[in-house]
Amino acid sequence: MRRSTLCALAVTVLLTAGCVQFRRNIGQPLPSDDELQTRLEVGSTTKAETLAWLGAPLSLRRQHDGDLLIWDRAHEWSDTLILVPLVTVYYRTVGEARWDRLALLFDHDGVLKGVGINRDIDPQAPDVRGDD
Amino acid sequence: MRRPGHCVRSVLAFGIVLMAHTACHPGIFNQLRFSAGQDWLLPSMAPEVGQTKAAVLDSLGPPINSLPQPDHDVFVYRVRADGTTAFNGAGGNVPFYYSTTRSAEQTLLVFFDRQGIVVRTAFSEAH
Repeated sequence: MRRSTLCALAVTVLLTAGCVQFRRNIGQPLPSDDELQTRLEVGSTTKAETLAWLGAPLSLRRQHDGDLLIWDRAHEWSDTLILVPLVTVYYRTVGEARWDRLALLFDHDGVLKGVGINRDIDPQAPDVRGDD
Repeated sequence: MRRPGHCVRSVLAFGIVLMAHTACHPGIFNQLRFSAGQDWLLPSMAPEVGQTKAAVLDSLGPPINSLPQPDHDVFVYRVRADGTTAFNGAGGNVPFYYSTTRSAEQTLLVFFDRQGIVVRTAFSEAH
């Protein structure tokens, strides 16, 4: 194949390539581990204090031994590459959903009895800090 | 009256046109990858019977769901990943479609009694 033909083919592919990026953050960022350690104390922190500080949780699950309150921060992304020389011939999408989650277990008197936290969002990712 | 050869030639010509038309449509190649959930679970991560709910929260983190049961509380931990590769050649007149999907899912259930003590666990893995 001649060089000019190859160049024309390459230019056509480049000109007809499309890229779609999707980024979405849901919920407020969770407090840092230091803040959580400072302000949450098992056996003394009350549900009212926690709600005043963190606001309304995403979900509240009634348990036999108390209530489980969960706060979420989700980050979703996907990247799509489309090549369209004359008709669409290549379509590729890669995506992921990650979230930070905080669960607080209160007894029937509304006193904190357990803390669970999972941080799965990379805090250094540039698109994570964007506005909600 | 038509000669039999004429009909055969017509069918062949029509087939060649169909094939040529299909060849002009290179088809669509699709790849989709998606994953959701935290890090992969391991059977060894299941908590011991007798542990408290607070200890489970501390070691495994928040569950993805909590199922209300009459005599138990159940924490659900789940991780899932999906991948699909497809080739759709139906842009031409002769349809052709090829697709392969791979999914992986892990689920860990932790059952607590009314006092919040682990009474049993269940782990499943599907590929």
